[in-house]
Amino acid sequence: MSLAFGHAAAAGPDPRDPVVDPAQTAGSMTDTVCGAVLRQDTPIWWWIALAPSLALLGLGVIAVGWLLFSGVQAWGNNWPTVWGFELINYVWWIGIASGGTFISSLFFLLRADWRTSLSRIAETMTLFTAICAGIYPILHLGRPWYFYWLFPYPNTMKLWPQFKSPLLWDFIAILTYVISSILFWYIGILPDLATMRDRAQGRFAQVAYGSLALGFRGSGTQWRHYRSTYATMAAIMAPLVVSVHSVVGLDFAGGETPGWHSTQFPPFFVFGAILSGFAAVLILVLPLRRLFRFEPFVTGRHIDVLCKLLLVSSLCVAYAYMMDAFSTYYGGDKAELSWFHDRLTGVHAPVYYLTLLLNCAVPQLFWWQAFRMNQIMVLLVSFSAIVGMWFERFGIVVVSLGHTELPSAWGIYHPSFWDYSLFAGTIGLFATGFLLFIRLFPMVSMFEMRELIEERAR
Amino acid sequence: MILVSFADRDAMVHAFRTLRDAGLAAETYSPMPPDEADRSPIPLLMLLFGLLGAFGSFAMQAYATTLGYKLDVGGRPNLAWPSYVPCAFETGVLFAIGAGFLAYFAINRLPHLYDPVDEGAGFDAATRDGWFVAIRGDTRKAPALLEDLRPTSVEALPE
Repeated sequence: MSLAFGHAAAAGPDPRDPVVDPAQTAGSMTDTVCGAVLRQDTPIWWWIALAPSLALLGLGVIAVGWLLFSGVQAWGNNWPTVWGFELINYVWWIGIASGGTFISSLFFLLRADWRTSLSRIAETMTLFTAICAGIYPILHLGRPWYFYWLFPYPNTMKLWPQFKSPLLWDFIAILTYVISSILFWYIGILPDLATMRDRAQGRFAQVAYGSLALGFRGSGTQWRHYRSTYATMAAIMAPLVVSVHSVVGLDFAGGETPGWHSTQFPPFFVFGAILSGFAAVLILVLPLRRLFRFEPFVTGRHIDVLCKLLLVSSLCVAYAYMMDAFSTYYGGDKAELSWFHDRLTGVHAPVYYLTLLLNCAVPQLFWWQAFRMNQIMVLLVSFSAIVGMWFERFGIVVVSLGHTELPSAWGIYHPSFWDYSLFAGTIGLFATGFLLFIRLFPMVSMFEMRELIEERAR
Repeated sequence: MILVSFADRDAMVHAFRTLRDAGLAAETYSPMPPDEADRSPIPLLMLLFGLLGAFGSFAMQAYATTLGYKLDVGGRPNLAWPSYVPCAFETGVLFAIGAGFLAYFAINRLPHLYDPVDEGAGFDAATRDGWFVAIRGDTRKAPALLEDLRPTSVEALPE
């Protein structure tokens, strides 16, 4: 059986692959997943990936240091484009984060069998992308050390934050999202930390995993409360992620700027978020399944499902773009029309056409199974969606702010070196954190896989 | 304490029920949840804390904008309740998730880093593919019952 599957894997993934290789048992699956982490020699690809990640992270640290020293004038944003790279990248990162939460919570509630082996990788991605996103609004405050002013705390000035502002909602939403994602991730990995504790050979590893597992032993009582706690958390996380991206959309829709002041922004931002989220999950899952030898659990079926989800979210995004254009012309507001023509023909016109091409046109390739099963093509299309979503946010932030109602206030945004280096720094932060976690923690939810394997065996 | 291992889930669940019904203090140890029937007070607790967070946040925002710090922006109403909803929702979620997280560890009395059951030979398998039942306290009735339950191993451990 295992040999036959080996041939199938060599021939490439197939959408008809079983969700887990039938030759796998609970024991063999546990050994493979633990073995990827507990091996003594760190694989060479890991070091090769870590070196540039650390370099980018270092650049980011310098960029933050310079920002704190010199103030926000280090960045390219100024009137009229007061929101530049910081908002673009913030929305981009938080959008990517949605992919993990959608897979781990929404598809848990839907009892999708393919979700089991992907949830951990996706959730770990969410953890670090949400942190990358959270850094931007704080740094954007100008005096980041006063960020706690956003929080309603008793103060001698007897001031309260402005609860009617979407920007404050955003602060609360991101805070909730980051904390909830960490807690949900930890509850989800708890039984697997116990597995690691019992498999680890060295004293240090045993103590470390044992301390993190907090004494989880898989007793009947622990499991009984575990399932209901986890399921309830998942049921709350699914609406939370929708609310977070809706609030991000409201950050824009709350402003009177042409192109932003639209009721479709909250769902539009949710669509965009899941498109980049599924794309990012594909970009991470495809190499990891090979490097960790996870092919028996991450099969053609998983790739097929993720590609189809990417296609669906791309169609949703295309619909939102269509409504965007339709409501501009149907509304007939002069400033909106002028902004839309600037978007089609102005300096930043290529950004708009790239947005349409990369987010709406390229993912249409996934209608064909041959493209969904070609891993190089899947990576290319996913990259296209990730880059396309960045361009979309660039268009929303920069073109709108540079082309408001007042022609005398029009302007063009030029990002500075520090804008680019901070962006590179967050990529470094994500990559470093993600690499550390995949080296230290099991990247497949083992106890859920055991249930799946047992269910299949029956 | 007596630590007994079984070949599969069904054997373990059957043994657990038999031992429990005979009045023994039995507890299962398994690599995945043993059966479907999960009853826990935690979801209700999460709901209560979620509602507390949401209504508490709403009340705080209402207080802040009507009594604490009135801000007249073009004559708009001070009690702008629709704009309190997003924060109230998020705070409710934060309270619910936080309460569920803490309650899970509290209800299981974790952290509990050492337990005598850890000394059992091969007990490591409880987090891989082993199915165990531990019988604590008065175990005099256990050997007679275990004969029919087809355990794969039986071990006596100090408590």
